[in-house]
Amino acid sequence: MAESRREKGWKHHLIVVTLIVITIIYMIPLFYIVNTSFRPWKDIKQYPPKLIYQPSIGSYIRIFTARSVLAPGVELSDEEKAGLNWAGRIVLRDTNERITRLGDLPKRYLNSIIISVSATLITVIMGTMTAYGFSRFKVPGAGNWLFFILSTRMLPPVVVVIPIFLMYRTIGLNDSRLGLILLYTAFNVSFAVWVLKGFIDEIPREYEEAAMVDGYTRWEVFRKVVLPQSVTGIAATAVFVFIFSWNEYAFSFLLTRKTAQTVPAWLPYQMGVLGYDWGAAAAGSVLFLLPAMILTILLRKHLVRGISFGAIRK
Amino acid sequence: MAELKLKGITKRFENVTALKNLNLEIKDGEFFVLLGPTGAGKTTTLRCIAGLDYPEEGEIFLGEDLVNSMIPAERNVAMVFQYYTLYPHLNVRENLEFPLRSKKRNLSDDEIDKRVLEAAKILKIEDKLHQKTTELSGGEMQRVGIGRAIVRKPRLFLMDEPLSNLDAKLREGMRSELARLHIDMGETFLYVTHDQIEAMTMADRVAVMNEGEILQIGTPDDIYNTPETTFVASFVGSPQINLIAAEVKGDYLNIPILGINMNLTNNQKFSVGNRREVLFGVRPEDVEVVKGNDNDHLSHVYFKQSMGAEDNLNLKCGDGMIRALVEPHLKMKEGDEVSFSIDIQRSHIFDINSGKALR
Repeated sequence: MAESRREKGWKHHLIVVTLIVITIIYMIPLFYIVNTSFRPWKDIKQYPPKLIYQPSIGSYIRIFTARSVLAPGVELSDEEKAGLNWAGRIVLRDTNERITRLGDLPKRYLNSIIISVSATLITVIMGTMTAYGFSRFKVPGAGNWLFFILSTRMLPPVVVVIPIFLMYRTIGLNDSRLGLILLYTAFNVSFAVWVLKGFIDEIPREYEEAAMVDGYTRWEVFRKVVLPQSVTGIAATAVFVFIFSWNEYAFSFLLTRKTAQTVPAWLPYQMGVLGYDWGAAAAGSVLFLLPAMILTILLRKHLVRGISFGAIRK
Repeated sequence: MAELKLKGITKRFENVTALKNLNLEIKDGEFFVLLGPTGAGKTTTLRCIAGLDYPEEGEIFLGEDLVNSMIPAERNVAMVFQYYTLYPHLNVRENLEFPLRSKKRNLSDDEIDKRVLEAAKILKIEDKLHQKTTELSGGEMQRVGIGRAIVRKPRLFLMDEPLSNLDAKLREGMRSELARLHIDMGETFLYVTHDQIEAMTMADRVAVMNEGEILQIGTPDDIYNTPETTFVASFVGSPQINLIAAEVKGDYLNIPILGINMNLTNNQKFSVGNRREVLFGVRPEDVEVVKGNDNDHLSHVYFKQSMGAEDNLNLKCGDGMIRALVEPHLKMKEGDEVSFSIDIQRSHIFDINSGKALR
């Protein structure tokens, strides 16, 4: 007994060490981006990189602003310098630039949030109701319908970018938030239906039958019995759909320009007069990462069960 | 409170006919049990009454109302399920309140509180009201399930094998509690089970079902002592009734496999008529056994199962076997030479083809 326990302890330690190594490997890019975003302007392209440096928020200021470079030899007067705010002083010191206006990031960020949240909400609502229907009612040809729904995901999205571009141009959905919301919803509903159907299948029908006998209509039963019990599935689906919509690049790149452009399509254009601004790109990436991270952390207790796609019984 | 009438109910599932022209009348305040093996159509009957399934043919009357086309919510019947079906996202009190919070009922908070406390008191779960349902034991869960039915004050209680998920000891306790509850409330109970002991101990009347048909309706006593078919005779009673092929020879009944002859009573002779082959049935407790050779049918003990209060014997006689119940103090054991006699008055004779009792 003692020996097997020792063996177990040994295995346990091995697992923990492996997990730590894997976690570190996964965290390196994240660490690198965060690290780069706080490096001062002069250190970013330095090789070999300095390990110890004075952190700076210069990159964050640059990603939020549009600037103009002062012509060579031109210097600001003391009076002008005194008129600068703290952000202006940092920019002047780092890159010898002047802030002209607020950059495009807030607008792009707002687009990303509106589009992703709307697409997620619509997808989850439609997905839950469709999944419930398929799970609980005899739908003629249910198998074929489900396969048809799934088949919409069989083509890689990029293949249909051009037809959709032409279609959107004709009906005027190009460069509109509605266009992307519809597109992301269409792409994700199939996924949502399949995942949620798995979850709803798992809820014993007896709960609903008990509630119906207890004096509730089908719709009330759906709201008061089925929804609370599918929270896990809904949360997991929502996270996946949100991350898909939040990260989507190809469609956003092709279908949007000014009005509806999202962060992923806009972020790569950090080319200034002074060359590609890695610091600003890194700062933008960090800001871009945050919502998906926060959402995932908030819903993590649902995700553990959710990612197993309803395979584990309660 | 209401009486229930089923008239010619037929229910089909794709290729299977689950209920065949079912007719049933349950009186107001009665504890009625539907007894039968798995797949007999008991639960389907219950679901048709609750409105969870709709029969293709026939009429269901609750009191004066024809309820066929009503949705479950409108029928005002309560149902207790085998798998408790307590809502996992609600605590005990919320589970009990759930049916009362329905818009259909539109009750005040005071009334809801009053009814929940009343039910909790009856079922002795007052101190559990704030617990999560997942923290309850099986027995407590089913109490809450029953409580959810009681709070509603329904016209009819439907119970679908509510005790079959409990362990044996708890089941026994709950049996008497349920029977007592019925006496106290005086409501109409329709109870489904495959457990004949539950049927015998709790029911005012029992309907034995098999393959979508009702074979016999009667008091537990009727069902046990005057079974109308071999199915009823063998389904009810433990250990099982002895059913053996026999031949009628004038005034005698000959059982070839056991190699014994018995005198038929006049009644039996009359009801047998001119049949030659019949099925002979006798319950194990109506087979009397004494030690040694006592002029009766000589046999020996092939196998003994001790059940505490009595011993269940398998006796080998001729080429056949017969079950008998004896008192443990006789201390019978395998290999013992014994004699048995059969109480012909308490035996049953069935038609060999139809399985119907000949009386």
